[in-house]
Amino acid sequence: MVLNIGEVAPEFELETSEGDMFRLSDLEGQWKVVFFFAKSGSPTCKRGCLSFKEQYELFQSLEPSVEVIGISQDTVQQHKKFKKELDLPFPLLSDQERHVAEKFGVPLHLGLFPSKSSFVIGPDNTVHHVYDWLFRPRKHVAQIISALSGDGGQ
Amino acid sequence: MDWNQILSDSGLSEREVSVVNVLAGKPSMKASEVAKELGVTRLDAYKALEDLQEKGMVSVIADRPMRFTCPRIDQAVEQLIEIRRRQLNRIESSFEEIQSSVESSNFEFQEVEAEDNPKFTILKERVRILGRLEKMGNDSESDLVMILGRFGILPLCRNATITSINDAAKRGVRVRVLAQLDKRTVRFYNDLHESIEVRHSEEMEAQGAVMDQSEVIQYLNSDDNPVGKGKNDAALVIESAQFAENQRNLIETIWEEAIPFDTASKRYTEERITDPLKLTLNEGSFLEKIREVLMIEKDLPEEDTPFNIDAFMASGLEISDARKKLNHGGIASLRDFGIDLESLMRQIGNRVGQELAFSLRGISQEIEFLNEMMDWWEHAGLGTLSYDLEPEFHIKVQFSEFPEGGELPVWALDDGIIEGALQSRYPEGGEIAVTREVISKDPEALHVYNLIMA
Repeated sequence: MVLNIGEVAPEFELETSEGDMFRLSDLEGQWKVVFFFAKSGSPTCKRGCLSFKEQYELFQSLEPSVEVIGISQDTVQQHKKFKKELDLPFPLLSDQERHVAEKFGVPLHLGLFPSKSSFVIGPDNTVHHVYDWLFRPRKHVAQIISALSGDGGQ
Repeated sequence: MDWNQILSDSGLSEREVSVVNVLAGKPSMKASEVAKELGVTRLDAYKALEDLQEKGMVSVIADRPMRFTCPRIDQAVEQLIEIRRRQLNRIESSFEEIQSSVESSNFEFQEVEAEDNPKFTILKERVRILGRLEKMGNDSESDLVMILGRFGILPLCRNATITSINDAAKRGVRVRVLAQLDKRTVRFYNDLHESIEVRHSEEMEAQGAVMDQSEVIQYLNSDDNPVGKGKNDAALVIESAQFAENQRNLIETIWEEAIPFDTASKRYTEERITDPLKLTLNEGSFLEKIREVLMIEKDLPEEDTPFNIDAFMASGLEISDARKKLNHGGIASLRDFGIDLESLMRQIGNRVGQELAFSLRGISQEIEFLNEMMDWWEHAGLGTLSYDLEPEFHIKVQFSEFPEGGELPVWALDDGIIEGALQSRYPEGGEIAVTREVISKDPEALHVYNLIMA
């Protein structure tokens, strides 16, 4: 089951595209969006990542600021290439075995539709919003911003 | 020498001669009367009459019981001589052809034989089949239908067959081509003579040809490579007037429904579908429906009304109230006629959806395709398209406005668009099955389509 609103986000440690280790607890006390995407090269994922990139400044300018982290099953090398290609300002984490995806309960749909979910995690380390973004990558980023900017968000 | 001797020399049996003697120059007779005259059984008389019929000496008048006639004896003999002369001519010309080593035997002779005894031949290898098609092009006298499936035009254009078919068209033979147009083949149809009519049929996979009322060729197997040697190609040639006619009847039905080349080819030349849209209004008796609408219980009163000049002059000028009401009824009037407006709007929507899916056919990934669909849907202001993953992946169609009685059911159009697009993208029997499920309990979602992995 996918992680529900109000539940505590599980701690994890994954390798970034730069080869460093990243822990969720590194961002302790901060707002963050952890988004799971399917595959570096796929058009929808590209659009999703680009939407986060386009709105990155906005995420950062929110009070308090919001950090963005992308996770997929791709290798560190694939992420490195993808991040460079799109000039992404946020870290991409490699979760090849889906250990973290499973901890967050990110579903695998029918084998054919790789899952894409986003979690908005608050300073209290609990999940404030969950979004599925199999489709409409740009709209889902808009929904996140809308929720974070609105009274129901932060 | 007497008449009987001549008849006998002409190849009639003794009994047949007697029958001609009895019948010739007389009004028609029943078989029993002929039998009585000759002092033979009715069965024997029948047998002789049947044989004479086959020889063209006796005609039958369709009556109960059947009646038989025969021309005057001198005319009958002339007729026999003519039959014999034709037979002799045929033998002579066939003989001449064999002597001059012409590959095929006399066509007319073959045709006569084919009428009596249907013949079939199995041809193997593409080159032989094309050779036979070329011969059909050369032999056809009035009508030739070529059925080319999806890629049949390709081998045809690389072979002399196209010349023989074009030549047939030039000498006035009505040549028609029924095919399934494809982006890769559409330009090759330009090689056909301008008088050749080409039509597109979506389901047309078969290949073959029907020539005049005499010969049919039907592919039994064809290699995947349309421009290869076609070593495994096989076709059945049937020489039978009846079979040719039956096949032609079948083809005419498909031909009527098929789309003219100029219209169908637009999907490749202009990247859009412009086929005629055929709608089904409803089923049932429309006469009964109009009776109901006009509130007519019977067509006409059984008894005459009293004779009244004024009433006669006025009749026909009166318009009934029910008819007047129709003028102002708007959409409700259409419904009164039994026109299923939901179905009508849905059919139009299906076509729009089909065109939409066609315009998005370049998108190979399903997620991207559905993404585009959803964007288009919202962009067009048709409502919200969403999806849900439980219990299985499905697209949710929601309408922001609810239909009210008396309004044009535009929701059915919207519904039809999504249905048409999905069915066009995921045709029946494919990997992804689309089923339509109406969720009546959810007032926000009129219809839900399940997109299920088969």
